[in-house]
Amino acid sequence: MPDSTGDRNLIPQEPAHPQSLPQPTAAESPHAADGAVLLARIRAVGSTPADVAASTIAAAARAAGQVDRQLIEVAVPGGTRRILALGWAEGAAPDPGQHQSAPPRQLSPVQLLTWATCLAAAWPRAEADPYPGAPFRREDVLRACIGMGAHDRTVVAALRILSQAGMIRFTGSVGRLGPAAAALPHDTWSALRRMHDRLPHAALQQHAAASTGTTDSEYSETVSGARQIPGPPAGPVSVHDTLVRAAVTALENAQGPVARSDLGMLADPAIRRATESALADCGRALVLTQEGSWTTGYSDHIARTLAREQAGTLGKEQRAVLALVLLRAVAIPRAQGRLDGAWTSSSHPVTLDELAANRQLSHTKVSDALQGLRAAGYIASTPSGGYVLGPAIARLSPAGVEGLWEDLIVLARPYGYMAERIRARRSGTSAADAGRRANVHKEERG
Amino acid sequence: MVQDDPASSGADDVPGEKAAWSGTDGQGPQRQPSLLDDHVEALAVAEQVATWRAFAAPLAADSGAVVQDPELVKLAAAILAVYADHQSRRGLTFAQLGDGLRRLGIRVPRGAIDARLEHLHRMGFLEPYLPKMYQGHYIVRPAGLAGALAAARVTERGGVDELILLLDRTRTTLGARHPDSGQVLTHLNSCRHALMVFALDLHRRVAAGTAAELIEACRQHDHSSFTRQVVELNEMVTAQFSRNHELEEAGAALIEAEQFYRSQVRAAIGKILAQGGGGLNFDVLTPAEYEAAAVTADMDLLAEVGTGLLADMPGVHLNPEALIEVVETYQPRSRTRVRPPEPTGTEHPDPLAAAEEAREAVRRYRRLGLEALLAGASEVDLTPHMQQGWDAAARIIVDALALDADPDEPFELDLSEYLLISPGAPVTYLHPARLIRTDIPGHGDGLTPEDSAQHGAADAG
Repeated sequence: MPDSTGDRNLIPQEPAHPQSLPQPTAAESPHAADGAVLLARIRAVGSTPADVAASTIAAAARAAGQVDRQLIEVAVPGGTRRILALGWAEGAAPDPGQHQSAPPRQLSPVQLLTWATCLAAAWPRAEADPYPGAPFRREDVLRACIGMGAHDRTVVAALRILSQAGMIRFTGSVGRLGPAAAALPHDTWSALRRMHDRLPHAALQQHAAASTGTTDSEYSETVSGARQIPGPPAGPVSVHDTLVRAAVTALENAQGPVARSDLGMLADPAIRRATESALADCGRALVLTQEGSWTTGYSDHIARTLAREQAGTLGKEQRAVLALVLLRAVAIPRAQGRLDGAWTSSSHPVTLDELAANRQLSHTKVSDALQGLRAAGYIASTPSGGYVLGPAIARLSPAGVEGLWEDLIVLARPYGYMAERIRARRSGTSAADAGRRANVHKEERG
Repeated sequence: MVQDDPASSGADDVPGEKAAWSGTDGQGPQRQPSLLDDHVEALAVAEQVATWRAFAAPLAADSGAVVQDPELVKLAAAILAVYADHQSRRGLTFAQLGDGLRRLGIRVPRGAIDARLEHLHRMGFLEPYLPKMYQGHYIVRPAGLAGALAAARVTERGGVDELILLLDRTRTTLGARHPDSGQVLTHLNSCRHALMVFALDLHRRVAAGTAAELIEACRQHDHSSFTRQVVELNEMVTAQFSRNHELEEAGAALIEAEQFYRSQVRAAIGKILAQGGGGLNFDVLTPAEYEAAAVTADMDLLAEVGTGLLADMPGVHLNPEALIEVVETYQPRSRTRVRPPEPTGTEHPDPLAAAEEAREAVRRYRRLGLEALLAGASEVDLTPHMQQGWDAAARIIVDALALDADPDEPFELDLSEYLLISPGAPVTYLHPARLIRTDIPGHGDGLTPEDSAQHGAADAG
């Protein structure tokens, strides 16, 4: 990400880390697992605190460098804490036109307009460092976007989605650019700097003149910049490595599974193994969907670790609503014989009213939870307004899918032998003990 | 899977009556049929028939006594619905039963229905309302009702309901103020026998059954409440008959049988789970259980799903050119309907005046039309003009009626009562009509034909 002196001057001003990292030694290899967890945590949460062991950061930087990514350390606005995000190596970025079956995630027009307005507010001077930039008010952005013709509701929704994607961050009504903005590729920032005068500054000034409380001093104290944490030394990259990096970039940035025909290189066992290895260093795994497409997901042991840490897990209401979606979109139609095939890509949409038929969940709770589930990738909307399973379900490993199936069985028949057996297996106790606990739970529920 | 040789079918089977109707419920979402569906359906029919054969074996005289077509068994249940829906309290005739079955959507041929009703009558399922020859009205014997319902239930639950019934009956007997020890012993033994039968069946399925059979077994037997019920029965036996060693032994044997049964259920479930849930098949539970969970499950129970799931969305790809293009060309999609432009001001903003003006214009056009038909004469036969076509006839008659009814207009319509029918004419039938102008000489108003012509010219102007 560029700073005030140019697009490529994010090299640390206080180099706590070496400019380039040596290859791992035998003593460092245990840190590779920690590095994989760190990278997976960034994937799940969007960022992670930077106060971890230098060896872990070095291992993560090395693993990221193998797949054209780069760790970026950025300051948390308004504090002294620093966080790590995952940016792009020099010259690397996903190509939206390369894989037609699964293009990278892009913003809608109103989201682009809203983020451009946020960017104009946070980055008034082209020569300044855009991240984290100046604070801006939600109200100013809203007014400016409405002034440019956007509907207020769509702008509010766009602000929420941009915040969930990490492109902006709000503390109360004051926002700043988020870590995902800091992690945009160098080329993107270069282009934005060239076109800085075409950002909607005028619309913003027109509507924000009276309300803004941002001062130059406030702005200057936030300009603490971001720095790249260098990965392995740049060296000649073989065709083999190029193919692996292209495959990982496509898989990790695609909205959903990528067709086999788009990733023909994975038919080569050597390239597939190298891809799996590169992904494993990042805490990820190659997943072959039941439809025969490729995608990536968390490695099982990494997922268990992050779930224990509650890093990137779903909230209670989100899990409850996901359970309702799975019951309505998957379990019921399949038990009735209406659907068959892989259930992780169910195309049976459910409506908000169907989900809110549950006696414990109101429309508002369901609606709020659906927004969170959509941001996490577990729910997608259909043009007709229904909800179907999102691409993150297809990214689950076979063990993850089986675990979800077991969850639904336990939910639908919580006091049966099968639920008892599943609980016992998970808790490592005997089925009888699990059954007794379930019965106690049943009696408590009355 | 046991299937009869068609040659050994019972004498009551009616040829050509297979699967002519699809059930009376009419429910269930439809999907695209496939070749596989036919195979699955054939397997399901064979499974049903096999279950009924085992169910009816204690009653049947020979191996061909059970029907081969499940629709005929459903027909017996549909007969119960016909009786419930019909108003008659003195029984129904076969004809009424046949009509009622067709109203329920049953499309079995009439002959097949009659044959089946005759068979049910011979077997005592239908018995005469009065014990007289040829009186022709029948009602259902209650035992037949039990048979029809049990036949349906045994295919749905595989007989597990009988075990539940036995346990309940034993509990009821033990709960009586003065329980009969002999009856209690009989019930305890019956429960034990049933548990052992189910346990051995499960044992066979675990050893040699298919994944589908195991899933079916899990759906039917996954009731951990059996254990609790058996333990409670044993405690009741101990409390009621503390010194009756025979009953205490029977209670202990029942517990042993339940343990064996439970071990077999767990073995079946363990095998399913070891096989990855039979391909993560949702058939292990019934649709009703999933539906009940979707409606009644509380937040805590629902939130136990997906505790290990992590957010997994890729980062946003930003195209700077697209960003700037959106900023410069953003056009929101209109969500509100745009009003039409305000009409320009008129000479008569008063709506009543405008309506009056419009009414006057209509009257003038009508008058001009009729005067054109009169062509200056005092009267004209409208019939040939009306015979030109239905549109012209309607317009002329409406105009003439309207002006005839208007006291300010000098027109009279003489409409004949007789009907003129002309099959070959454009207007095939009409009442002949004459139009008379009353304001010309000869009608007492003093106007000359020239005056009349001038009147019309002024109107036209």
